Amino acid sequence: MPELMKVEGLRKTFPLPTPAADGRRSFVAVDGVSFAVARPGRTIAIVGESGSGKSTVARMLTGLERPDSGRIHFEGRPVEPWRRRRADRFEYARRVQMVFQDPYLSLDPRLTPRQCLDEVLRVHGTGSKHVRSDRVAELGESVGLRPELLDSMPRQLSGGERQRVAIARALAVEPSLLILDEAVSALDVSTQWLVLQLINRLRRELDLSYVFVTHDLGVARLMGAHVLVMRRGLVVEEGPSAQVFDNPQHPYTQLLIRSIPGDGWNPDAVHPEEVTQ
Amino acid sequence: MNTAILPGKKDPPRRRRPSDSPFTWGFWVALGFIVLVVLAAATARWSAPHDPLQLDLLDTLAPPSGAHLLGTDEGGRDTLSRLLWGAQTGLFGPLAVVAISLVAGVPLGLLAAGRGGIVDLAVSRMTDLVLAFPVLLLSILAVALYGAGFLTTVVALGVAFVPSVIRLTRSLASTEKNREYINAYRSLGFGPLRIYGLHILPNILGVILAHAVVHFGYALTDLAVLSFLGFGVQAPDSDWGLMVHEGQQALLQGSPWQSMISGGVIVATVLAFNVVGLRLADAVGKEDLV
Amino acid sequence: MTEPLFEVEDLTMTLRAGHGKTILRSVSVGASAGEAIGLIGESGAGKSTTARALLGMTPPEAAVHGTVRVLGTDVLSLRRSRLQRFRAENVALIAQDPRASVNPMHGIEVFLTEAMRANRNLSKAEARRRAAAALEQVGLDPEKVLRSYPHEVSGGLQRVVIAAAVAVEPRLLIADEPSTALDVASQATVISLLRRVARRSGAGLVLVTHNIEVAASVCDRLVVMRAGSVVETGTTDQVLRRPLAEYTRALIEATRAVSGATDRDDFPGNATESAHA
Repeated sequence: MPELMKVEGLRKTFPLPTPAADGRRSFVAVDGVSFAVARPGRTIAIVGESGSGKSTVARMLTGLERPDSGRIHFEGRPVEPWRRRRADRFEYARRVQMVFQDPYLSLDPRLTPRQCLDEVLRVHGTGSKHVRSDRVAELGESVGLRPELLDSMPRQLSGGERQRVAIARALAVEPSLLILDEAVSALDVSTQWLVLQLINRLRRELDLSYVFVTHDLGVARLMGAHVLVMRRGLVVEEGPSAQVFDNPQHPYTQLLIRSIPGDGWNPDAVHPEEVTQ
Repeated sequence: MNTAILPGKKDPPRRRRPSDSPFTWGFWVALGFIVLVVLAAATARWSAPHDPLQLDLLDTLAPPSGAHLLGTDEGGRDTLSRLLWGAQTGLFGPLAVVAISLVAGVPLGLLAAGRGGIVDLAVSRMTDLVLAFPVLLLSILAVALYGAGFLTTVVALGVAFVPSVIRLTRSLASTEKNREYINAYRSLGFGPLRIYGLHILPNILGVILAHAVVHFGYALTDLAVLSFLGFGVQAPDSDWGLMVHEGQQALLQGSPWQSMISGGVIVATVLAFNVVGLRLADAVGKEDLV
Repeated sequence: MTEPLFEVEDLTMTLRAGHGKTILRSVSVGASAGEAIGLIGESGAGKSTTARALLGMTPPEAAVHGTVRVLGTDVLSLRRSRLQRFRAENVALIAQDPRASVNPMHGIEVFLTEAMRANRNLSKAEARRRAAAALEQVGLDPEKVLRSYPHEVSGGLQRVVIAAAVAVEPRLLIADEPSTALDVASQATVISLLRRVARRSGAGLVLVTHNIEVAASVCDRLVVMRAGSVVETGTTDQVLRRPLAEYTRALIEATRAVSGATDRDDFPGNATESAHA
């Protein structure tokens, strides 16, 4: 059986508005990233600091950015989600969905959660009005959204509630792979924990796979069975979560792990200078 | 969001601004005046004390009196009645101009923002070209080609207003299309028609309509000028711009009533639409901030 | 008995506009000289508002009751010019985003020496000497940095802001989420720097943060806030090991879980079979 998703040598450069000090006119955001989601239910965390290229990878996976080179295979077939071909995009969208970082920006401010979910179901051809209405209630329930909130405007919802709506919207098409781009970074700690538990519960209930992109090592450690550490467009280390976190090989990974605040954390022991080139 | 009040907003301590709500008393006065003009237009048939076209050569250029509240013109026609009837063309003309500019400009603006590339370039260059000509010059050109008249000037002005609607729509849509919720719909496989028609347009329509209200005021001025120059509404119909024109002779003869009153009504109406439009744009803009 | 650094007594703030929302509800907090206090809470907790009240800054649209005394001075009743003088001589603020504190058009030297020259009437040479000393304290090369512009030290900008704060030798340092806008590794640097400079100069420190573990690593006492009220106050050890309030317990659990320190083995990162991914 082929992998659910296989990514090979993704590369993306962005033009610089003004040439850099060394005369370069473009900036390599992602420099040959490869990984695979072995089978349904597998999870991957991509962790890195800002500018590491992790979000660009997420956006290429959903076709929001077009890679300069590299290939994506989904269930063994090559896909190019960034192409305009409507039918292909549509089909791909049913399988791969994305949850964005900022729940304050990722919902149409004019639509209530009910209208938003109903439209997605309608566009993707889910049955009669009646069936859709049941499905909306079901989706709301599965992401833990109180039923009365289905009819509020986004601006009346808290960040956590909005992110639940965004997750419900992504789940409405019953995808097999979720791309989560910093999906909890804009939330408060206790809300983060609730949303992470929600994502984990959905993963188990729906046998969902996801690629969880985050700058937060704690979140990566928790959410990814397999972890990729990215730095300046390159994957510097990857492996099973326990291996990467308990026995990091690359000095950059070691630095990052020392930086996680925790019980008995000693900030003095962290020295970013030692790995800055 | 990190904290209830972001550091940047609070520091330095900001003095309380006098108008935190865009709906100042000026807005309500202006809106009241607009309602009054609309009522005048709607009820002219009944509320006008005289027939606006009824000549009375024995009572020309009369000052305001009990019989003629705002006096009469050169032909002895009742100024108040002509003013009330004139409100109809005064409002309908600009309405048609704005409608034409929106119907043509909004889709073109969305198209330019949505397709980008060569389409955007073509639309933008056309826009620049039309904008290079003064609006009035374009209208006069149309009159030269198709003859004077209300319809010609309205259509010509409507077309002349299209570029600014395209520009506004294009810039609003270009900002909106990069917002994250639009990316969410793109990754849901939604087509461009649905995204632009049902998500981007409704979210920018408020600002577009607020600007349309301001354009309404401009159109009213321009139509009045064209009537004044004799290109628009033709005598003997009642029209404010025409009335200013017809009052010119009387002005020299020491009877300033007609020109002054109709000119004043034009200025007041345009001002009212400007105030209302700008305040609405403010209000819509604020609401957008989550 | 040490001299009190600040006393906030029964501070209540209610927004005048709208529904008269109460943003602070009889908050009482105190600290003695040289103490490091952590104000902890999630969004809307009122931690920033409380910290800023110590600078005599209150939201213009709020009705304020209660007293705030810093070094014995009632800062809320001071007139504008006196307040500015008081601040310049005694208190320094390190805000969340260093870029907001620095004028990008001026060189670092101007940024560092401007306040000293204006408020302390120091000569140019003396101000420069002190600026250089402050930069050395935060581990930057004074000769190089003094000649740079803000965009040239982008990574170390928060350090420059800390240097500016300590250069004026304040009695009280207020750091408002000084590390959230930074990268993972830089967070530790900033926190450890704050601790070091506060200890060395004997200044009191108020650290505003949403991360209780970060606060615990620096502060002697913690104040946990929620929705405008103080939930719990105590020594760091007390609050962390034996929290009294249910909310504090939940916050600690969430913070630890999100930083990866949870033994919930239903998460992919902790699952035992993850090694076979």
